[in-house]
Amino acid sequence: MSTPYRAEPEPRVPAATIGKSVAVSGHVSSREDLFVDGEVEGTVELPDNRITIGVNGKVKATIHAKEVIILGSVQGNVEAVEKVEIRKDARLMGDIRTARIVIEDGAVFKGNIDIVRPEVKTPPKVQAAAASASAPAAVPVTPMPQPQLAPAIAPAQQTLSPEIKR
Amino acid sequence: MLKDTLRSWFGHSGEAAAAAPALSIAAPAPKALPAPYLRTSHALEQFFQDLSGRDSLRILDLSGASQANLNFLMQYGHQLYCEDFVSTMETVFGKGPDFYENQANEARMEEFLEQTFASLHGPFDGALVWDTLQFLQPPLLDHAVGHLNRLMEPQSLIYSFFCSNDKLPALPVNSYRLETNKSIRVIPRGELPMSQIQTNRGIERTFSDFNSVKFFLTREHLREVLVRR
Repeated sequence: MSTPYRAEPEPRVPAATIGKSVAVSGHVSSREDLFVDGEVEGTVELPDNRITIGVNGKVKATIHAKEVIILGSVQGNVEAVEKVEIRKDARLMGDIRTARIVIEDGAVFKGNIDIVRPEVKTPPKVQAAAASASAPAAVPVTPMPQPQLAPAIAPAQQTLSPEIKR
Repeated sequence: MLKDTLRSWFGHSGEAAAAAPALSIAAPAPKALPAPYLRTSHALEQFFQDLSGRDSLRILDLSGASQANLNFLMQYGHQLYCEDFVSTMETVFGKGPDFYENQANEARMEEFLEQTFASLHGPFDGALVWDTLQFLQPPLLDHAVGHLNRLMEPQSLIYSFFCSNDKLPALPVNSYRLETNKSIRVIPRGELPMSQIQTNRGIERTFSDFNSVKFFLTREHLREVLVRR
């Protein structure tokens, strides 16, 4: 009989771990993924990485990370650039600000959820064109070479071009 | 002799048989919860009709966090605040027969109000209160409604309902998941002791500080109301 697929809560192999018997107080910042199974109090900063709070983890902190996965308990505001996941039996008391959120049935959450639209990154050349278009330049502007734009932002380029010519 | 008797009762060895009745007494089978079901609500439909055309509204949901309600409200661009009202009640007052007696305890009352309302940052443009208020007894009920009144924007709406079936042995505790703007998936999650059933007059009195209370007829022994702040 085949075993039904179930997404396991375990993170990809974390590079840094705060173990079950470890308690940290203060500011924690990391440039690699972090797995917290102990206690953390203060602030946690991983703007480019994922933090996973394990089933034994107790975090009383403001968390700012790329991705936050909660299996244990968190008290504090959570801000994630990409995603917040609150797994079954996890507890979060605090406000969430993120682009995407997953709440499993059985999770306990008390707080505000603010979904923020992910920022559309504009290629640097278009930004430069926008800057020159908005500047009160009397100097004739050479048309910019056509940047390699993703289809989603192509209309922005079209509206910029006539202004450059003027 | 004892072994033989036990074997005749349970059909296996004496030791195992001796353990069997003890186990069955210690851990009675948990009462199976009814299956989730779908119900239609005209009050809910009117609640969302009132919100339509506006986005970025702040909605309070007292049924606890759920992906379904989150997805439903986010598609309209609303901001959601989650609070599991009944779960906090069960934590503070217990689930036993003294559930309502404990609500008269001043310290517990304070603790409940603190845990529930201290972190709520209004004002809210709408509140899905569901049936949570029916588990509260005065004066705690009045305090809770007073807090809701304080947290709501003027002219905002509260959607709530109360069980009207006094024949029930206990009040069912459910989770509510929004399926459409007028249908709710009801997920049974337990029960609490029966309390005095709220009459229409009682509900009006409960919300006497609000602008208006509109009643809706249902076929499910419920008194549904839309309360305007």
